[in-house]
Amino acid sequence: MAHNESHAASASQELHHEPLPVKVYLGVFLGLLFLTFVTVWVAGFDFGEFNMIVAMAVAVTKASLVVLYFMNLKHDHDRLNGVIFLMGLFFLIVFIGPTMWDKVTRGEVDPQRGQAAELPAHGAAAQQPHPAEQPK
Amino acid sequence: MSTTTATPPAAEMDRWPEKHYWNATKGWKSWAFTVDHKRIGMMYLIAILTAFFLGGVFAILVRLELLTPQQTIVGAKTYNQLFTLHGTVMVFLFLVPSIPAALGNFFLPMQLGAKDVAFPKLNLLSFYVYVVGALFAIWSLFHGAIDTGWTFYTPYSITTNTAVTPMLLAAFILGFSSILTGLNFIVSIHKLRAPGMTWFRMPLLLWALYATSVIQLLATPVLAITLLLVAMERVLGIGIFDPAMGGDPVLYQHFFWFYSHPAVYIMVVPAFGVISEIVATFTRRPIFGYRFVAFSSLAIAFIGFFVWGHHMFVSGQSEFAGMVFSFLSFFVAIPTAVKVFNWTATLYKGSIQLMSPMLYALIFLVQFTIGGLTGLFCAALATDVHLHDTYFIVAHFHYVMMGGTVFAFIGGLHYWWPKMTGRMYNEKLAKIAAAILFVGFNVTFFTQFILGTRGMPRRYYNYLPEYQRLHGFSTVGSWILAVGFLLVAAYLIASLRNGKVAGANPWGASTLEWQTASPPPTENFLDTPHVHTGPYVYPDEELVPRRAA
Amino acid sequence: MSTPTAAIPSNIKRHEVGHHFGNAEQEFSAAKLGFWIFLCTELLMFGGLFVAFIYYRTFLAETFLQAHRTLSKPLGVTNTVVLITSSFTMAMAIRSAMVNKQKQMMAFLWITLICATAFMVIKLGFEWPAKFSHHTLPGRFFDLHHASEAYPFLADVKSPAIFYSLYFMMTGLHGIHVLIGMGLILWLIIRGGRGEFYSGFYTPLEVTGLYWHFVDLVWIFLFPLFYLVG
Repeated sequence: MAHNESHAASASQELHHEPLPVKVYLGVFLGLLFLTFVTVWVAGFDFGEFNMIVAMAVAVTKASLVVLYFMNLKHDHDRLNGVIFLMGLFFLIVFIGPTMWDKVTRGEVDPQRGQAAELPAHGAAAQQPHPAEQPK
Repeated sequence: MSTTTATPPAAEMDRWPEKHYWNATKGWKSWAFTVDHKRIGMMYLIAILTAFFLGGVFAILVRLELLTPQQTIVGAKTYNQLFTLHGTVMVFLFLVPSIPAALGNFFLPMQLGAKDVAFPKLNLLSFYVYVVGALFAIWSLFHGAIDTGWTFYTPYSITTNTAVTPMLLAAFILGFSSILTGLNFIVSIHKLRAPGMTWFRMPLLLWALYATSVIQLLATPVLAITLLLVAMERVLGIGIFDPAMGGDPVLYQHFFWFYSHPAVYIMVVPAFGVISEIVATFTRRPIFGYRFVAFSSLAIAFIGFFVWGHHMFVSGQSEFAGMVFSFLSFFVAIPTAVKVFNWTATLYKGSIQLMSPMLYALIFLVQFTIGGLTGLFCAALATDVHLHDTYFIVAHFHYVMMGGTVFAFIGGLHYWWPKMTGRMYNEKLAKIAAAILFVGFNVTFFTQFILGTRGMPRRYYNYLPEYQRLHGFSTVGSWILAVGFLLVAAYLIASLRNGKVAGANPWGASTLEWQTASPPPTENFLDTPHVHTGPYVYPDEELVPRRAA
Repeated sequence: MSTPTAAIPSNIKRHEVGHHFGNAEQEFSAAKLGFWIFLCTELLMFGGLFVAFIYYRTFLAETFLQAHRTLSKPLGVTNTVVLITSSFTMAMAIRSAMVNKQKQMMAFLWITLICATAFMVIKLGFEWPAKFSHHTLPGRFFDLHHASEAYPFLADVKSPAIFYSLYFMMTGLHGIHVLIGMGLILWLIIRGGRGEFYSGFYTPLEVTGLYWHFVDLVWIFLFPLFYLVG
């Protein structure tokens, strides 16, 4: 796959690529505008816990359109580029997950006794940024 | 490896080449604006060795202070600055770039059979970015230095009045140098392998550098944003990590260690690659279990991202998270152990030559194993609660970082010295220096395991009198180390003038860089090599090593 | 239905591949690979900020709910539309180069630059000054006394300064990336004007395009998280 002979014929000094049709780009553009309208419209309703999920679902759809078509991942010969992008996303999740889980589970174990500590309900506790508990 | 490439006849290869990368072009501009990876590697080498010297000076001063239980030469705040600078310089200015930027830049393209890395100008940029970062660090040094520990924990790093912000910016900038190098290496390995060099015909150094580059690219940006956030904390008081403003200092530690744990693999995985090269050459055998060793580098890179919380067991992190991080941390020992077993298996029935690079590799096997095993004590939640912030931890990471990476780096420097400079160094002095370093290292740091288990805390400038004997012993060890390093520097520099002409392949090694002259020509090879076999092939008749005593 | 590639104009500078590459295809795919890797690092850098955002959004939910009302939805939507448009025109500029329509390419590049400028003008000329005037500033500069005159509800929530810290850090870092993008697009305009891009060589356009689309991607998430989701 790798060739590094010095100076091949001049035909291989230049690229020969077929672009996507204009209507693909136009379609993606209009789709993005439409989804922007959707996300603003939907923000006017209150779905409670689902507000974030709906907003993120729309954002992920818009992002997918940009990544697949504008950034050409859908038609890229090198699958590696897509793998790289997904790996970045994956490790971001690896970062977020345990970090959030740590905060959520803090104070659940009494360091002295090793049992669940007697604490007020999570909501109230979570709003208090309390100093870190030091095990004695 | 078996190649067909137009090389001059053997006699000519053994002579000093007329034209090579040192004399190809002349004048300071031809170095300052070079895009030759070998020249860039050389410049990096000089820079990181300077950093190593600086970090070493701080280390000597730290150990001098610890000679007596009370103040010996400096007060508390200065002591804090000394160990902080020792750590920061050693980690960011030396260890992270060392093998990849100095040896990797030089040899990655050559081992690939390529003319250069994929993006030569980006390579030069990465060097200048390193220099700028180093200058910021030096600026910080002369304008109040820092006393936060290399870990910059909040809230102290927010409130202390030492020159934290320039040092944060220094590390931020150095991170970009690291990212650019990693980027270049990955693209080079994907795109510039010589004809016939499949992935599994690559030397193991390249697998190690590939895995390292992946870690660099995924982890370093998180460090960048972390340092930027702390700088913004100091300047704008943004409050994210500051409990006084409603922020969470443990969040800082999550951010910091998400980079810094993988960072330790950035520092040690290239060393593994170097050891593979040296062990193969000086046992004249292919590395046992090549694919296992190759994949283990990737496995370490992957698993290393899941374990950062083992630095935070006593930080206030939830106990559940602590348990999970502890459990996962044990897994990273598995691929590491695979490597150690495989190198040992390679030795069995090998034709072992105890030349100086091999001495360093053997010492590495002993010292790194100790470091790795003690890592398990640290990974176990129950024991770490007692060992955390004691000298046990200090000893553990010095065994892997110094006993491991530094010794591998010095070994690699010896191994590739003839290729880079065209000269052999004095082998007898090299063996003596290796022995001195081995003794000095273990006197300094084994003592610290004992200090740690007996309760001596780290980052303390004074201590209870009962620890003095051990501290004294450790300090004497640091002097032995200093002598060893100075000896190495002396005979290596002397060899530039007086060393025997090395010839193309003084060790009888098999990888591609040894199939061209020493020092190599600018374009590396006269013709593109074509590869037919794996990297470690030692036919009996050819490639007989010369003993350069 | 795709546009047939026009003939290469005579004033074009024909490309020569770098000495260490074998052919143009290898050089192009190496450049793209390198840039996707770089984008991965950008993803993790911005990602770190998103982690901090998610963390505080979860544990200071009430604060974020109230504070986000102080952001201007109309300006946020306008900026989103502007950036999406600029992404479209950037992609079209690349396409034009691939079919040797250099004049079209230049037009699209200019429009991209104008959109980018509009984004920065809205952000730095309208949004941020509004924050300054209401003293809803990051960190230690947050002035509750003045801020609660305009927005009384801010007085009832914990640590509102953290919301604005994150807002300014994230839109600020994003803004810096927009500025850098503007510089890159200007550089493309200069090189394009010199006749350097055509069907046989458009790598700098492709790579800058990837960068610019990434900048758009970040905003696609910033916008709903800050402006919309209560």
